[in-house]
Amino acid sequence: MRRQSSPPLRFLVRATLLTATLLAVWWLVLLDPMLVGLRASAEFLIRALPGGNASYYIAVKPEGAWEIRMPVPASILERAGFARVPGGPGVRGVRLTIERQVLTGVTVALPVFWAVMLAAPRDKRLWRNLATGSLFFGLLAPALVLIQAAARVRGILFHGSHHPASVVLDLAAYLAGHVAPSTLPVLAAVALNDGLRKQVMALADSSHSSLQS
Amino acid sequence: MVDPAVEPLRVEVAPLVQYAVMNGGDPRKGIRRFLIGFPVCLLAGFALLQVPQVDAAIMVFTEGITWASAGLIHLFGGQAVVAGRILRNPVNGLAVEVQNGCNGVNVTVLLWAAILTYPAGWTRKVKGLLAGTAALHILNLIRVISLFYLRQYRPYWFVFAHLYAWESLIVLDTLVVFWIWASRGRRIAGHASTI
Repeated sequence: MRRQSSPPLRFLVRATLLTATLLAVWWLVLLDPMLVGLRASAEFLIRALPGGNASYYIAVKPEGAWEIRMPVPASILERAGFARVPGGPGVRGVRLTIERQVLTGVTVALPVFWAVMLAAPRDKRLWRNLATGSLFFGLLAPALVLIQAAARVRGILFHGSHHPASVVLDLAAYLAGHVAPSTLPVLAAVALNDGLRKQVMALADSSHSSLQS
Repeated sequence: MVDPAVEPLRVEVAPLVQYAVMNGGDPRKGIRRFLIGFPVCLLAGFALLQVPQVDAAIMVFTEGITWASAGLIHLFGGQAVVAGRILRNPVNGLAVEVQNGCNGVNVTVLLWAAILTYPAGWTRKVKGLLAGTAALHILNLIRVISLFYLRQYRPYWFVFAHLYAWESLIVLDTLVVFWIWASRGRRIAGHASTI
């Protein structure tokens, strides 16, 4: 009789194949439309910041990087050594650039989440969970861009500062750029799929439950 | 004592429940502690990576990964020279630099946070940390070597594989390493539950 491989390994094979496939689809087909959507939502978020208005924008450079004009309170600029204009606006714009590679990284969470959810044990609530997770990552993506932008503004204004706020912002930017896009989709899938969560956390005996493909 | 005439009864209980019962605790309490402890430990781990002294130690470790990758390439008949964290093909001059994010440190933090906060005995945790870390770093060496060759022969796919595909796949592998470790508790505790 053929020996059956263990549920974690079967899951790994399925999840790897699905991740590779969906990432290829994302890279070749979905990436550009997702970046258009990301730009629109991030611009909306920037304009919704305190003091934000239509003069704050995101422009796409020829190489695909984004030039962002962020609203920054005049009090912060003053602390960074910029003279305050008497009677001037309470918020002023700071221009910064975010490379396309960073922006692309922010959108990768969605196909990875879909792949892990589809590789997980079948769940009655699959479509609802897929929609919930997709909405979460859709909302998270512009927030991650904003965190990166805020960290760059800090870098421009307070370069080399070890102020606690700077340290926290640097950590947030590190998490937003290097950790969240690849780690959160997997954690979210485990959180949303009951069967997967019970097996991974050893809350259920994984050797008896079936992992359907 | 087990009566030899009576077939021992095997009770299959989830490992986490077994652990809690054996330690006289409430399994839900263990899970609650994990749900709070895991994100806290994860954040603390990533914050630790930002400390300059830790960062310097990681750079040395990353150089070690570069040397180990070159050693493996030589072992299988390939050619590679190392300069710091740069792995170069001496024939065509094409190179890759092993940076933070490609050194497997992020997923090590993820695995450690999960194992350290999961309700299990300390001996099992230490074994899990050692074996799990070794498994992840062996996989990471394969990742570095594959990227070294992809850079030379399929440059179009290099960025895709480097920044997105491998990054996601290694997180998946971390999940599976944790899953295997957590479910091994069932087999270990399964012997204890034979009554």
